[in-house]
Amino acid sequence: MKKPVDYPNILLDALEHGIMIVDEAFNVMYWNQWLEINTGHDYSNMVGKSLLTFYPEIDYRTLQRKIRTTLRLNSPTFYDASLTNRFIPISRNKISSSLLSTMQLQVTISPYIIDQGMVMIAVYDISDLHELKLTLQKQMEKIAHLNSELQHDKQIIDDNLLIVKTDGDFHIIEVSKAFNTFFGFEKNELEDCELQLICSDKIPVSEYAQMKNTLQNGQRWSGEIEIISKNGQAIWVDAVVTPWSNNSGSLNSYTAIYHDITDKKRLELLATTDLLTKLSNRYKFDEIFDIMLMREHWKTDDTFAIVMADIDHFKQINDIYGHPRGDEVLVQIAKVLSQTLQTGDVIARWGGEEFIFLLSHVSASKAIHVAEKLRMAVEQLRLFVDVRLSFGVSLFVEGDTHATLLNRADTALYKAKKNGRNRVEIV
Amino acid sequence: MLKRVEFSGDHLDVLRELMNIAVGNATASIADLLQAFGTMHIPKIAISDIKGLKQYMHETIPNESSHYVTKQLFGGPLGGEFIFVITDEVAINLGNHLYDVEAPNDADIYDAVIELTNILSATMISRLTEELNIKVQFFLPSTEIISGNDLIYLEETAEYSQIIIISTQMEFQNQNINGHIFILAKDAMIQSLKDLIDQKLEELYA
Amino acid sequence: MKILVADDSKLARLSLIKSIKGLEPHCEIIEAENGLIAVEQFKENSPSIVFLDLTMPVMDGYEALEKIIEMNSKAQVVIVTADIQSQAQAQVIALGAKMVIPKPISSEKMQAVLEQLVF
Repeated sequence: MKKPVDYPNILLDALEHGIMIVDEAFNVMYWNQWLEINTGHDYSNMVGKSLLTFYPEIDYRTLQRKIRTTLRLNSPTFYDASLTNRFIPISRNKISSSLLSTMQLQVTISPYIIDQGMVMIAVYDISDLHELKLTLQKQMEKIAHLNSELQHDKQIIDDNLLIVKTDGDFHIIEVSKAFNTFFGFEKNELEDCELQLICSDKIPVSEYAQMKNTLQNGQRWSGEIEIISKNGQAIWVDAVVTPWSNNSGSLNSYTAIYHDITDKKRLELLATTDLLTKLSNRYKFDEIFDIMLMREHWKTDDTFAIVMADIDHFKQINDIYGHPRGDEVLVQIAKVLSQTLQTGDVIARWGGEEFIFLLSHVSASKAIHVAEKLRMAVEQLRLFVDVRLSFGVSLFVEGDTHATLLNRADTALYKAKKNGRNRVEIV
Repeated sequence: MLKRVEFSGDHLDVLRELMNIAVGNATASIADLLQAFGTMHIPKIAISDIKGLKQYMHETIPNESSHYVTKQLFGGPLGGEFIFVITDEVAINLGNHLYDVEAPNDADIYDAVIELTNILSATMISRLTEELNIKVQFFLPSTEIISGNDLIYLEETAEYSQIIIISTQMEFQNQNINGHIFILAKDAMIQSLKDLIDQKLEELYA
Repeated sequence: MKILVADDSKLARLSLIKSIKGLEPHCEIIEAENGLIAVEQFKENSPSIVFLDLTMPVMDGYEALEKIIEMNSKAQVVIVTADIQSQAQAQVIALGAKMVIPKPISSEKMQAVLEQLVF
């Protein structure tokens, strides 16, 4: 069936976009109802006149080139629809959002009657879409900005903080650049290593287990540990380890942030060490002693003992051989005493020619036995002069204080001196 | 799983020659419409999958600069995507050349890029389809700026299982304008392209 | 009459040969798929007409054209090319080509070419 003749016009007027027909000189041949309504220019007003009369401000050189291309190639050409509108301005009535005051148009120039140089220009209002795009663009810019700031911060952290990330089994996943630089490791060298591998064995296994335990309970752990650098140097660090949970709530990684405390440790060591003998000093000994006192449940056959030792006739050695040689004797005795002592027991220089020991998990006989061993070790020492030590032992019992225990050891030492020196007494 | 379309040497030869003619037409159209004399490059044709396409683009396009990437779809008995890629530097030269201003603004540049793409796609695809006795329709092109040479987003192209890549280069030395052209068609469209070439070959041997 | 057809594309050669044979059924056609073969075939067969493509591997049409003109300055070389810019056409005429015809070539166009060159 043939369509009625007036269908095309009704159709063109029913379209929800603008349709115009123009020639190469921009003369308008057709102007549909959408254009009439939205531009305010009537069909009768437009037809037969040039677009230039109504829209002098648009770039006609470009328009002409596009029309020419359309006609020459017998193929549609387009205006870019992504930026500002370059075709005729049509005002927009949307008030609730005000990004665009004129419509953003999508413009297609299609060949109409080529041999008469006529093209059809279709304009579509894509303002809503464009507005959405602009909003999205702004958000994206914001995100990009935030991202770059984050990236920058991350860079600073990576460059300056000593950080190690591990998985739930304490295998290293990631290490900061600063960590690698500080400890002399190559990039990726530590990946998949067990965390314990880079920690010094000076940390007691029990403490390591305690740390793991704290972390596995989802709590933060902090403390001092020693890390072994690539070239084998031990470096003290202060560590804060934080457990991370994944979305389902199970622990899946740990982040450790370290802080170099070598200097602090060095000062600490200086403050607690006797410079001549390199043994702990009285201050350090008292600290350990007090910790021992705070522990509970000591039994008579499993308690701790304080042993005081004094070099016999040391004043004479100093007087005859001079102080430097006397110091030499002190150093040699300190050395042999530390070597004889069991690990876990403590030795310190108490003052002048006096040494003090703390023996844990001993009975009276065991304590005397250890003191006797120490005495004999010195007796067998071959120096430029024969030296002997007297020992006074006191055993911790319920109700003892720092002072009472020291007092008894002192009394025992006095007794040993009185009973002929080079011997062990217990009080 | 779609059946892979196999192209014989003859098919590829026909396609290459038709594209050669298409490129010639495009170069001439630009000389005529935009007053720029160009050097023609022989088109390359490859059949690949989406990963191969990504790889191919990485090899063809330098990673150092930003690119104006204009994509235009065409549909009909033969459908696909036309992609034109130029560096931002070349885009400015193009804006310069078409709008005759020292420092073209973003809108000038975008419009110039769209215009050049328009001419290239219209002439190349039209010439190709004319030789194959079919008509196609063009859709609105759109341009985006992409830094580097990652022009293919794998997640956006999952539906393409077999892709025909026709690529060539446009070079207009005097205007310092050069760019890469990719024409992509997938799956069913490759079959129809093959059928159309078969018809062409039959005509020739008749 | 011998005619040399040089083009790397089989399609291009086939369509040229088809339209030549349609007009001159008794001529002998020699095919070459690149510029180098074209020059060798020209030396061996001295064809009356050469149809030469410009973009070919191994040796392109520009170089082949120069070599052929060097051998015989009166050689009748017709450039058949997809490059239809006037500047490109002027360049090959300057190199000694008798004519430049754009691809694809129609029978009418071929008839005009042959009439001009043969008679």
